Amino acid sequence: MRFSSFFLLAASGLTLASCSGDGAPSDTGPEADARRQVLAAFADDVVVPRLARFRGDAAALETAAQAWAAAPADATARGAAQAAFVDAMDTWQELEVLQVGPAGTTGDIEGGQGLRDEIYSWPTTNACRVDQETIEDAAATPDGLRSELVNVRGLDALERLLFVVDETTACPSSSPLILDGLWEAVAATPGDVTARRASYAASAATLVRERAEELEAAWTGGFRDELATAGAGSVVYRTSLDALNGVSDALFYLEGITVNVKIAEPAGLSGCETADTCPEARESLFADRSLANIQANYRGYVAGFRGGEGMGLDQLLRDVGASDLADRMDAAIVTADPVVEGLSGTLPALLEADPQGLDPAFNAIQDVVRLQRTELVSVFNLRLPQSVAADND
Amino acid sequence: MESEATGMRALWARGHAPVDPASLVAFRVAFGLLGMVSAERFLSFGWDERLFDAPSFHFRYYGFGWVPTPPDGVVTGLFVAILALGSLIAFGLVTRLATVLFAVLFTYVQLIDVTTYLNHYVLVSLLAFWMCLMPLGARGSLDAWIRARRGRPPRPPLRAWMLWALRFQVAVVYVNAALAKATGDWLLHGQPMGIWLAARTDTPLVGDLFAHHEVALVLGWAGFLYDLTIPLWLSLRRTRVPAYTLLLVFHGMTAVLFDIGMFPWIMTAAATIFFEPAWPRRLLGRLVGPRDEASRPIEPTRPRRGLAVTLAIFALLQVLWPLRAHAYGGNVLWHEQGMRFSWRVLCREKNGSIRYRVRWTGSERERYVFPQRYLTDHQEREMAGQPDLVLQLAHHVAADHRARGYEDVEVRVDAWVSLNGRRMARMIDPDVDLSRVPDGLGKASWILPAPGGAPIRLQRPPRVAEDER
Repeated sequence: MRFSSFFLLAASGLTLASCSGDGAPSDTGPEADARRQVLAAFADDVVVPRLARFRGDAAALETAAQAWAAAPADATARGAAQAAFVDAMDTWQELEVLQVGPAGTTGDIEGGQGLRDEIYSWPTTNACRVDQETIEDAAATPDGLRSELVNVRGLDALERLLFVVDETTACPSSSPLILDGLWEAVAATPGDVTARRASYAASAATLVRERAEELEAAWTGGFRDELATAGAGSVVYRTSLDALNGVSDALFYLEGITVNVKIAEPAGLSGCETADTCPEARESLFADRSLANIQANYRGYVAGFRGGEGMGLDQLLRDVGASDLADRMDAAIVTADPVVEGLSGTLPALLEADPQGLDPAFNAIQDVVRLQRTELVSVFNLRLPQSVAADND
Repeated sequence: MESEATGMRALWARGHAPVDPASLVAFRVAFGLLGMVSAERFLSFGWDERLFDAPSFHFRYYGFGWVPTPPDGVVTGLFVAILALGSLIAFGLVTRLATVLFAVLFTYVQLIDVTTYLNHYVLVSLLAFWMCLMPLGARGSLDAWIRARRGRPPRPPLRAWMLWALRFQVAVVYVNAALAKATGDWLLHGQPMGIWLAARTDTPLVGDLFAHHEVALVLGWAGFLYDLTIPLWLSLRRTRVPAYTLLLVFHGMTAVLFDIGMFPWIMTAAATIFFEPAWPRRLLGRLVGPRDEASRPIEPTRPRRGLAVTLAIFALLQVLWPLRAHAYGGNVLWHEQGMRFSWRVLCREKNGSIRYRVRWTGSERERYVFPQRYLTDHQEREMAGQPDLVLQLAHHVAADHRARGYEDVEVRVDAWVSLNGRRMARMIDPDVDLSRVPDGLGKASWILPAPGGAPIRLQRPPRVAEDER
């Protein structure tokens, strides 16, 4: 073979080899099938049922909020709206840990449509902005509210509207709302602020219900199939491993948000240096549902890990020969269950009675997620959330 | 003494023998083009911002804490400059200056943050520094063309030692990459190859094979033997063509299977330096032009002892420096002392979970500091398996607390790490106050021994029945 011919042949071979890496993968082996079983179970047994429940909860919340808007002075109507909010939030907090696909941020998450922030934008919550909207007429109708920022029209705004009973504002004295006397003018008429809040709550509840329907439709209308066919026809997920990575990324919410923020900060374990505890840093400031939210996050994680009735990550670990890890993760969950579910009352009350009252839950949940961060991602060769897809050698 | 001097003169004469410049010109062109592509990738993937601008804290190499952190946007400009310099090198315009600037800027960018460390970036810097010593713009370049147009005589010819130096550098990478794989995990347990291959079963045609443990073992051994011997096979005329064919297959596979960036392309291009100097002329014929100085008589030059000794010391350092890990004992993949600049390419799967525990005068209990308070996700992932970086951040955490008025700050760490799928284990002694541990090159007693036992052995999941899919 002539020297030049050899080079041309070799170069062609190398080009073909590299091109094949960009072509359609053949994600068809037992590994891929097992992953797709996990993904299908994650969709069918974990996410979709919760989305259906949340859609129902959101509809009930809308109905209750509208009833309260019709009778703002009726404490019973308000109580019913609050109860409906609690039901909806309990379900949503389980879904917080399951943000795969449409709920995720557009551009950051495969299949993301940014619907999570439309429904619940914490921690960008801004109570003063909610108060500003309260005295503006736009918030009285869903259409008026629709174009506002997400942090004044989701569950976080609803929490303030439904649970703050007094007619004071969270805005500082330097805000235009106070300086221009706008709040004072409305608050001068007893009940007016409450009536406006009720009307605003009804509008926000309508938007939440619409987004809940949209999110469920996004899953049942296509995304469920994208997940279940990852690497085998899905246009969202090129491989089943990509989709599994999406699930793993979502579950890391329990570590990055629930443990490191929702527990550690109010418990004084992190980011709270001037006092023993910082209960004011809790998630749920108005409904005081912070502990319930933590519990719901944890339940969502466990469901996501175990896959409901179907095949979960624990079974996948066993199937690929990592039974020891599966056993230890199961054991860590069994240990954490009573600790987390045993949290009761409100977070401030818990810390008041025992400043270290949240430490056991912090440690127990960390024992679970640490196994995911160190060993589970190794076994499945997953990347960590938001990692830069940089080179490696 | 006389024979030694004679031998030195003979070596010097051989090293200074003019060579056909074609392969060195091809090397220069390929280097410039690959430098351009590398810079362009940083810009198009947004790595300039995400890896350099986004972090509020940068990890420094030991002894290089003085390296200034560029203001936001400057790194983008640097990569634009590197891209432009790469094109100047490829075309051979103001070649020497462009090569020096390329070497300096590319190296500076690497020194900004340890978490961007990649072996092939180091190789690019070293090759660039070697090239600074060589008048590679003297032939096959716009510099030479301009010089000829101006009626000036051509610059002195390119010399044999330039080929030797580049061949040596490439061989150092391959051989050390092989030695790094001479571990029980790699050769006896097929890890981390097994973990990586099990995640690549979607690879067209051969993906199904990757689920078998035996394939991981075979490919592990093949990679080890390939790295260990390929410089030799490339050096021998009779084995050169099959060796380069194998090289194309090997690097083609690594390019397809792993997120290894420019490494396969750099090595594929760099390995051509082992060919006969005239290979581009044989490949492209008249496009390259006739050979000239190789046929000229050798002009005797006096040995420059200082230069020769300097190059010899540098070469010796290249051989010895990667071996320093053995002086620390233990498992370098765990303690990572001597890990960098040792060509330990793709030889571990390591994931860690880090949280700091901070205490100061008056604090009734330890407070946790999570790495994400200071680091990006990329930095955190890279730091989690590298004890010296965990130490650096501990120092920063302590300094940050002191700056905010806290006294007698103590920083400890819970560092749990899994190596090659093993059970996670503590990597750092949780009782040691890291704020008082100095960084350095000595053996780190605060790093706990590597966990024993074999790494994980994965298996194929059972086949799913057709109706269950």
